[in-house]
Amino acid sequence: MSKGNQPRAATRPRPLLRLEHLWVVLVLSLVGSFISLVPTSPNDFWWHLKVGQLITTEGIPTTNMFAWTLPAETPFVYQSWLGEWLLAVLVWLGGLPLTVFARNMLGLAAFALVALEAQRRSGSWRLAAGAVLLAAGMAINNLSTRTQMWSWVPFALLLWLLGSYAAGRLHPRWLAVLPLLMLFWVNVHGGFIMGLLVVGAFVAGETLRRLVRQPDALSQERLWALYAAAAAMAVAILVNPRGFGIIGYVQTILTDAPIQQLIVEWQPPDPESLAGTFFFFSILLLLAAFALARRRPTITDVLLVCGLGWLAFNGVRSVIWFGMAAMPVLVQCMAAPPKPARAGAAPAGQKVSLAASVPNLLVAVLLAAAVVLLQPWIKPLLPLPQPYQALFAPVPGAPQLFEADTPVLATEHLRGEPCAGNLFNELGYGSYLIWALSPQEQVFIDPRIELFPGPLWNDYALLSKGRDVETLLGRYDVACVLLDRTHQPHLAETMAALDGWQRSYHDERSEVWRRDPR
Amino acid sequence: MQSTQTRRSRFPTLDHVWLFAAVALIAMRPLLTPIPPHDFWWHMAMGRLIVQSGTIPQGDTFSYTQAGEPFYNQGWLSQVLLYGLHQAGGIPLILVVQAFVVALAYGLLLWLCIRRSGALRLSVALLLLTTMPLSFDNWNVRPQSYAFPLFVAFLIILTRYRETTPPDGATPPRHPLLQGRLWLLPLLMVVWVNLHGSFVLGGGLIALTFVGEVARRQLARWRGAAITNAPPLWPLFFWGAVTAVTLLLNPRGVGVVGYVINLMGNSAVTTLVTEWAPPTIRDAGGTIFFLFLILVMVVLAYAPRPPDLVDMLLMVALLWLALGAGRSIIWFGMVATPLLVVQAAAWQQAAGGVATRQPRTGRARTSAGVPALNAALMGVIALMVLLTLPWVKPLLDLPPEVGALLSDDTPVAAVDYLQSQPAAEAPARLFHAMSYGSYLIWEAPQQPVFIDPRIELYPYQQWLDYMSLSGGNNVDALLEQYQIDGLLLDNDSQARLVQQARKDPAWQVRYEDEYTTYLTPR
Repeated sequence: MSKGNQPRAATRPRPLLRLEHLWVVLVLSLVGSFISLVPTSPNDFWWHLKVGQLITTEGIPTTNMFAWTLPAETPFVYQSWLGEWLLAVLVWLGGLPLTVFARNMLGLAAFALVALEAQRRSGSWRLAAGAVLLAAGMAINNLSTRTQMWSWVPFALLLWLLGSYAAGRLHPRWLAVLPLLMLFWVNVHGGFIMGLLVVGAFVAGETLRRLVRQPDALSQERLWALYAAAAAMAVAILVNPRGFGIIGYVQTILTDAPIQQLIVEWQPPDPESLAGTFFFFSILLLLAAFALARRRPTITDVLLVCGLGWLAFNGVRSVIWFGMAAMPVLVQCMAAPPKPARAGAAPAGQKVSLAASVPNLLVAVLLAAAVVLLQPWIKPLLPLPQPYQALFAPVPGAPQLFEADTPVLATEHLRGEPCAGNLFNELGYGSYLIWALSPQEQVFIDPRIELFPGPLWNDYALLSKGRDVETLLGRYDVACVLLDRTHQPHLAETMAALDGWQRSYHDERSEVWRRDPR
Repeated sequence: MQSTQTRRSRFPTLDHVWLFAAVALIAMRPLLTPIPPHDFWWHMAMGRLIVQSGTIPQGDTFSYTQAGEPFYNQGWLSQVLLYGLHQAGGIPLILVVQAFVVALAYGLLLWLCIRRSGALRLSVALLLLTTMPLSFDNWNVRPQSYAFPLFVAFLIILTRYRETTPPDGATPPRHPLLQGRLWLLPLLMVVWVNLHGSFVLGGGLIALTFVGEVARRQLARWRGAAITNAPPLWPLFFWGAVTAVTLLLNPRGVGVVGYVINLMGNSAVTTLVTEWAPPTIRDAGGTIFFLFLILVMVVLAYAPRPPDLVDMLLMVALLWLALGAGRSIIWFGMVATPLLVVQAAAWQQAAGGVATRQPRTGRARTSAGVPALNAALMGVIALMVLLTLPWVKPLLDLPPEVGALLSDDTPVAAVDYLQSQPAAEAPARLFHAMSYGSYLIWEAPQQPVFIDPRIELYPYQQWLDYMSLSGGNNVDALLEQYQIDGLLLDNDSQARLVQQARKDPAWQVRYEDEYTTYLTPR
């Protein structure tokens, strides 16, 4: 065939950044912007930061230290010590805004990996964009700045590595990354257990595929390499300050009654919340996609989806992992069967040109700029709506980053006029108090849930509901009460009616009450 | 030589044993389940009131907290039916009818599964092992049960309608309006709309079938494929419209729709009643539901052919309801089971599994067994059913969990004691467990109740106060606020209040047994 007879499209340079890529860039820009806008809750931030700072000077602590309701030497496992230390290092390097910036970037990177995995599975960037949208949609209540953020990228990377390996796209040497990943993961956050579950699903699924002699099952050699990598990952979890003790710690967390009963994110998803709607809608989509799929899921895919789905139904905090793993499988089912040629590859003879990408590149830069503008150092300069600005507490040096239930001013009041005795505090306030006032002021309770016994939690719940207040405050010999009017309205009402107490401070959210001298 | 496969099998075959065992096992479950008080006694009392007064009450006549407030008594027909059964044969007859109704519903569902899949034993196995456990929680004696056969009947009629187009060359059907017996839908709806609030699901099934058929045609057009074997839409539209009109054939006319909308949006109902809460794997019922969902997912993923679009639409819609409220799981199970069986049968066939009948018309090529042995097996099963009958089982000294006719949270002895007291000593404002309210309404109609399972009748704040008081919180203030002069408490669910009242010198215990404590002011 002469050159003149070739199709015109084949002679025109192909843009490096095509319209289909912009779909993913658009969705990632939306997701990145959203993550950047999410306020950080005090609960799982400040106390981790305090521990991180202690680690830099005193090593990894092993006891209670912060709460007066238990002996100071009560043992406590600071499993996320590396994640805490990293938070402290970030604050040392760039102040509180840098921790939030790290959260934003880690979230963006994790969902970019989800997009990559979804595209690898489906061959379509548009479907990959849809997968990211759904995965992020069901995780919108799980994006606070805390040590869990260190798990996002390892989880998404693990899925991509194992998925690519099972599809025959990666050489076995890539599996060497897995134990290294686990060395980091097991020390930054308890989510490392999800890594073991995922690799377990791949080992079981790929073995079954081999046993039932599926045509595209892994060869025996590649299966052995997978087994070796899984075993190395299992060994790698022992490389932590507690060694084998980490297994007992995980068991404690998973069976701890106060955690299971009291903590919202350990409760089943709520279909009436936006994240819950995304989650339940994705279940329906998965069911329909599995049934009507143009491409059937593999045994490994089904194990992943069902296993992580089970965990997600059990607790909101697992929904994010389900979304990251299941949405790429969903779009794989929805996609057309793969073509022999590599999807997205330029036809033979067609040149790929960066110059031809300029218009698309401009759009991508604009979308990226939106994310950049919402980063912690620039966001406060933007004229964002007043209701949004009202979501935040006035944390010095960190405007519009931390939720309004961070008791900054009330804590300053307590710093100026310390409590002459035991302090009762709201749960999330305990986290901030640890960071701001420890060791001068000890807390009643804080978000180290498994540290405190069930009866103490029951008493905390009763007090927060304004029940048996006088009796309980007397029993614990409480001299001051720091309450949150939004989370503890009944306690606020009761304190106002209680004889022998004076309110020494109040603002829109917080109140400090002190017992009259006896 | 005549093949055993073509020779006509003698009755009863092994297939008959399977069918008989399935229906018998289904019937035995309600026969062995004591009646819980919650949604039973107050419906009976309402039936009694309707029969005796000749009118359907429009307001509350049972409580002292909401006396005279309007109350929409939607399921009047089932209440009259329950009361009539009680008058005719007491609690035992009600239990037997309950077993019959449940067996009828699930028997029809089994018939539908076999008809669609041609796989009798697979249908029986899946129905017994998956659908039955999924539905147990909803098999209590209450008006909802009487809607089960109606729901399945709707499902069967609409399925037959979708199958009515004959294969090429076959005899055309009778008048299109008579196709698939769609004309039965409005007749059934007249009964359903007066029996139970689930009648809206009947309308939903029709609407979803219509949408699914339209979508099927649209998809075929998009793909440029010929539309074959598609039933005409207009008979479905016509009978659907007639069915919608028959919804008005109830004492409140169009108001019944507003009642259902109000009920679904009532915050007290959706936040306080367990069965209106989303299912969770932290209880047995939720665990079974999610295991069933995983099973459906796996079967759908690996069945060799895609499922019918309308079946999928129905299942996904009902799944959405089930994910939002545990009480909808039973309807989801009824819709999902035929689809599950059809897909599982296709998978089994593709995998070279057990031979099945030809769907709809074919004969089984399975072992018929020995007729005498089959008959003996059926006899044993029939004997088991006989032993579970409510007139027989009390003689067998079974554990109360299966042997009693009423569940142990029915305060029979305590209310007997209450009624044995002089009228002047009867409390005017009795506080009691919610389920006790239901029993009091029936057994002690002269005793006005504080609260009862008519959730939507009572204001949300009263429910919060009820829970607070039951939990022993803010006791003095709430007793004062409602001027309570008697406590009939459940020792289990109101343990803290029982403990506090016992310690309080202002109250004295007048009666107590293992389950109930009755106190009055000193």
